Formats: sequence, structure tokens, C-alpha cells
Amino acid sequence: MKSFKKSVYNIVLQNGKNTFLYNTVSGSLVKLDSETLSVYDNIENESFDAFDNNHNIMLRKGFIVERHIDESGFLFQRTYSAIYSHEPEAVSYTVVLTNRCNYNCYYCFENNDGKKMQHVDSDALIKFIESQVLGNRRLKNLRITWFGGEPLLCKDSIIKISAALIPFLDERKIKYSSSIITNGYDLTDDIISKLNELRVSHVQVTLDGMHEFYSKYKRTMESSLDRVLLNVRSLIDSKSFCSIGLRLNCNKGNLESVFSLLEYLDETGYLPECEIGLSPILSSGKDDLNDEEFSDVLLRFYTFLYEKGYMELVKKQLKRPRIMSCGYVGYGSYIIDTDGTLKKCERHIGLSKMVIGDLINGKYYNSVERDFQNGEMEGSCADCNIYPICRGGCKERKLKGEKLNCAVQRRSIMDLLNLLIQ
Amino acid sequence: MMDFIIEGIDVDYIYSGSDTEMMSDSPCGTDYSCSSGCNSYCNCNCNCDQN
Repeated sequence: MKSFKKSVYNIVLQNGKNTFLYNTVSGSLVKLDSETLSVYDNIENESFDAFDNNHNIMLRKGFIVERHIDESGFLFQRTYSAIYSHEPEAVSYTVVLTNRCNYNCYYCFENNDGKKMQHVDSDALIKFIESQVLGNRRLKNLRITWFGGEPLLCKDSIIKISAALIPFLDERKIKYSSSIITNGYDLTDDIISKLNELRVSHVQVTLDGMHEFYSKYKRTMESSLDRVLLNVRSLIDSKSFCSIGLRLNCNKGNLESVFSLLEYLDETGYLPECEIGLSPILSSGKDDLNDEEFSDVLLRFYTFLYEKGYMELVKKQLKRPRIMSCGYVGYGSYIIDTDGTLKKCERHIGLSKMVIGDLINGKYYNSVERDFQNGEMEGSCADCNIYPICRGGCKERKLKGEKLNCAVQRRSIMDLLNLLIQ
Repeated sequence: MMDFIIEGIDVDYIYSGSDTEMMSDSPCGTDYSCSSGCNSYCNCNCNCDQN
């Protein structure tokens, strides 16, 4: 006989007479009929020798768990394992190829004014990654994000590093993929034609509104937006296997322009071909949106997608469960800066006091890294039903002493779920 | 009967799955299905809040 309990990570939703369940560990959202609802409601009062298909699904999707299971304990164990395992099965590197950029976004956290222009040393990078691979018998998955500055200013480096690493990893049956974060200006046909060969599976392009604000925020010509959109169109039309993400950065200043751009992207067929997301500009300026204000913007954005009928895009806005607050909390994952230093957060790019190692000597095992790994799990979060999604929030913000606004996180999740059950 | 609106993943991974399957599509390696690593309030450009 087996006994079960309801998962602490369930969210029960109601729309009229219909009941829905969302589980934040599996990310599964289901509508229950009255019979299944009755089984779910009574699950803790009965024991079972055998169960039907609905029981199996509820178990598989995490809505019910065996009564003796300590759910938060298991989640914590997996997190600890990912953070402290010296041989992680998956590692990720963000490679800052250059601090040069053909744009000059006013809010850019890298702020390269007056800094010496640097490019990452490709040979040292290849040797470092090869040594990491050879030192990790369990490694199965390696991912690189090409970043900058503007990474496409160094496309020769991307080609050279990929040409060295891809056969090296293939030979060892380690799955390799990459993504690139670019302003899209130099996303020309010649590079688009190489994306499959370079195993680039995702391209993210940042847009900050229609021409006037695009030009003002990115400190470039208004016509640059047209060129970038044409490049994105070429990528959509190409035979590349990669997905395209459009990131719309916004604050109080460009908000209406961002929504005009959304209308434009809808009218011109960029949606739903591209994934789309809004992010707040955090520049410590008067136009920054606070958490509550950004939640309002997100609801407007979700509603826009919903009313346009882009349900798949609405679903994609729902953040998925994760094993850590941030991938770079993990033991073997790093930001690799242009000077060959290793960092734990993209916000640390260019900051010498945030170095945790370098390409030649490896990790220093210093307090910067320990601070970043610490405090991943707080007791008060253990039984919070959105914890598998939130994971305590951005580690960098936490280190700066900012308190996570749980109510805002919860509101955004509920706003999305309530749209999805309409 | 249960109608799926979002199928999600099977939670077996918590007990027996590998880290790899949890990180399959993630550019920054954080999530098993999300394409990035941080939460929506992070500004790290890794596209997490879009997937």
C-alpha cells in the first residue's frame, strides 16, 4: 500500500467552476475534471495498492508525492550537488570576446568609456576549456554564450574557437551548443550561413523601442534599427536551426515606444517567429521601473500577447523551474572576461575585485566565489510554493543587499497563470 | 481526466535524473528547459525571462 500527499509546490487556480493545478517543480499546468479533482482532494485520506492513469500523471508531474518524501530536502540536495560537485555534468561559459562595441547604450553595465580595448585570447581560452573537459569525467553538456561588447566584431574568434572545440567535444561525446547575444547590426548573411556549422542554437537581439528611442538609448543612427530588423528577417528566412529571441529593454522613458515596437513586430510577422521578452533597464536613473511598476508593465505585455492570440509566447513567459538561482552559481561555470579572468556574474565584467580565477591558473578558490555560492537556500523559502521558480532570486542583487520582493514575483506568476486558464 | 495546458517535465529527475537533462536547452546552463539562468529581475542579457 502506498500513501500520498499533495505537493507543497502546487498552486490551485479557479476559473468559474473549473479548477486548475500548476506545479512549480514540473512546470505542468492542468485542468482537472470533477472526478480527478475529487481524487486529488482526498489523496491524503486514502492508501493505494494500484492506481489509474490519472494518479500516474499526477505523480509524474509532481502534483502528488509519496507521503514520506521530503520535497524541499530533495530540491536542496540537487541544488547543493549542482553548486559543489567538482565534476558537474553540464557547464556553461559566457565568453566576453571583446569589450568593443559598435553601439554605446547609455545603460550598459560594462561602461567601457576610456578603458583599454581588449579581446579574449582565443588560444588560452581553447586550452582552458580543453583542460576543464579533460579534468571532468562526468561532463556531458557544454554550452558557450558569445558575449561582448559586441561579439560579432570578433566573428573570426568565434569561428576559430568553435573549429577547435567542436571536434574535441564530439570525439568525447560531449554535447556542445552555443548562443550569441548581439545588437544584430553585423548579423549579416555570411555569419547567418555559418550558424549551423558553429552550433549556434539561439540568437538574442536587443531592441529598445522604435527609431527615435532605439537611436537615443543605443546612441546609434535611427536607420540602424531598420538594418537590424532586416538582418533578423534574413535569419528567420534562413535554414538555420537556431531560435531567435528579441529582448526589449524598457524603462519609463521608452515604454510607449517599446509597445509601439511590439505592435510593429506583430504587424510585420516577426511574431510569433521570434521569441520575445521584456526586461527592465537598471541604470539607477530616475526612469528606472521599480519591481511593482515593472510587474504592471509585464501584465500589459502578457495581455498584449494574449489578445493577439500568441498563446505559445504567453506560455513561454512563465519562468521555468530551475536548480539554482543562476547558472553561474554552479561549480564549473564561468564568465570569461576579455583579460582572461574568470567571473561569476556578467555584472562583474571589467571589475578586477570580482575575479575568481583566470584562464592560465584556473580558480583561486577565493571569498568572491564563496560569497556567490553562499546563501543559495534559505530556510524560509523551503516551503514557498514558487521557490522552484524563484530560487531566492538574483544572487548579484542579493549580494548587494537588495531584498527580494517575493510579492512581486508571485504576482507576475499569478498574472500569467490567470491568463493561461482563461 | 486532466487536460494539459502546459505539459512541463516529469519530476523523476529530482530522484534519479542527471544534471544534463535539466540543462538541455539553456544558453547559460541554469535550467533544464528555460533558455537562461537568472530570474526576470536580472539584467544579465541571458534571455531567461523569455523562455
